[in-house]
Amino acid sequence: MVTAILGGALLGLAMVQQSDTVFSVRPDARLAISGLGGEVVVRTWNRNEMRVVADHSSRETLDIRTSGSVVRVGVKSRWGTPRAVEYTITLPATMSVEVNGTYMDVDARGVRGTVQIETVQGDVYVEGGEGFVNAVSVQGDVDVRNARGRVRVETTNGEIRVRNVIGEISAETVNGEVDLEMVDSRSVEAVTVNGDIRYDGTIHDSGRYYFNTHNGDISVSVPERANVTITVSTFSGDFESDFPVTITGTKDKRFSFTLGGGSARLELESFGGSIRLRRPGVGRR
Amino acid sequence: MTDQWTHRLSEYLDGELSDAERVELEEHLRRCDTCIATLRDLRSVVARARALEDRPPVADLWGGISTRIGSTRAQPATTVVDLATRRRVSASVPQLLAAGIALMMVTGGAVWLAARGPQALPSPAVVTVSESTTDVPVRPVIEAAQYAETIAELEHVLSEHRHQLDSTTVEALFQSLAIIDQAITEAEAALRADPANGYLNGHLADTMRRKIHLLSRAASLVRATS
Repeated sequence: MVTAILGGALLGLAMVQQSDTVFSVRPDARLAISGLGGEVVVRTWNRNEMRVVADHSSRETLDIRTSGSVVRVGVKSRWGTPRAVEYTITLPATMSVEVNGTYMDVDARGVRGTVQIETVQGDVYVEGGEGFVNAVSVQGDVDVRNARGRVRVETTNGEIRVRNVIGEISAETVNGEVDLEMVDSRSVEAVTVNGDIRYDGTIHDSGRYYFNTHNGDISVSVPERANVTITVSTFSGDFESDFPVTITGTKDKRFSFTLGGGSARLELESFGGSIRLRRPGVGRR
Repeated sequence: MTDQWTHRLSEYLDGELSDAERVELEEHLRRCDTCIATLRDLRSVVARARALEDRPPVADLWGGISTRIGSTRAQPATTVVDLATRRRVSASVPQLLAAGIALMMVTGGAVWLAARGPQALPSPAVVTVSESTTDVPVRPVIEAAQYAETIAELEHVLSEHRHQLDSTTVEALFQSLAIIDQAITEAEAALRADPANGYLNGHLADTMRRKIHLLSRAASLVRATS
């Protein structure tokens, strides 16, 4: 019995191995990881070094290659395709990050370079990113916070959350809600087929804001002094506003109206859900 | 940044390099990200061009656009998409992807008709709303046959190669496709009751484009796992 337990424990120890290495990198380098499964956690520090900690099968070895400004991190397997690997990588905040996974969760925080993450099955969480942030999943939630620049967020079956972002935003899912909060942007596009859309952010003069859902509600905060032309379109949904709006002569639940100078455009389309305008910070849910 | 091989990638794609040069270039590609990216772009352009070669011009698209441009009131399009008339054709996954992308490029060409400027109102708090048809942007119509063909091709790829994907991924994709199909069905039913509704036309076109996008994505997943 004891032998069996010890044998099992030894087998377990043999199956999982941790590699841990630190090496110098250029602060403007780009991390590139491609993997089949597992998890990638990215953190930053104030050193021109990269630390890679990887939990992988004992049949695999950590494989780090540098080519120009690109640092490729992966594992090599002696037999067959590498299995799930859990990476924890610490790098200079100014580096860019690129992760391509299949069955992979990704959690990247503090990066000040570009961030590009694509996975098929897994959640994506990005805190930071500048210039361009591209966070994509198929089956999983995507959450982007504190990014600056152009932000593209996409999933198919999952929810999207974008919070405290400055810059152009494009968010799209099929089955899930889209929640945009504390956004400062001149261009926002949020689309879902089956889910609600919430927007709490700026309406800049001459900005463009487009929200479209088929089966869901839309709730948008409109600042007091916004200069915006608002277009509302629905088929079987409702429209309501927390501030006084006099609606006359509507047909087919399609109408537009202007607040202030009307230079920005806000388009709200929900086939079957309600469309609600509210003041910032009021009754968000 | 370029190097001695950057300008020869086109010859490489066309199979015009000697064996020795090809081996040398392929060795170079192992360590040059710039050339890999350039080669990928070139392949994409070539695939797209091939997919577009035999495609007839979309004559009715411009007709619809020009009609609406010439009108002071946006005339909603009457999209008739016959999903029953599907045609099976044999094509490679890249060709199918390019077809989907090409279609999205055609149908997604922004034709946003801003018919009249906004009216300035004195108070931002109390506003008067009027019926709007001209202010609703009218999106281009998806050409029916092209749409059906692309959908059929992409669905064929997905059904043929679904075994290459994880069952959870397949389930998620088909669940999402079912949601989009339901949305299309509802939009079509609504449009039959109100064919002149500009919003419904645009919404249906958007939802159809979304289906193409999702299927293209699924096909690219298949390709990635091949």
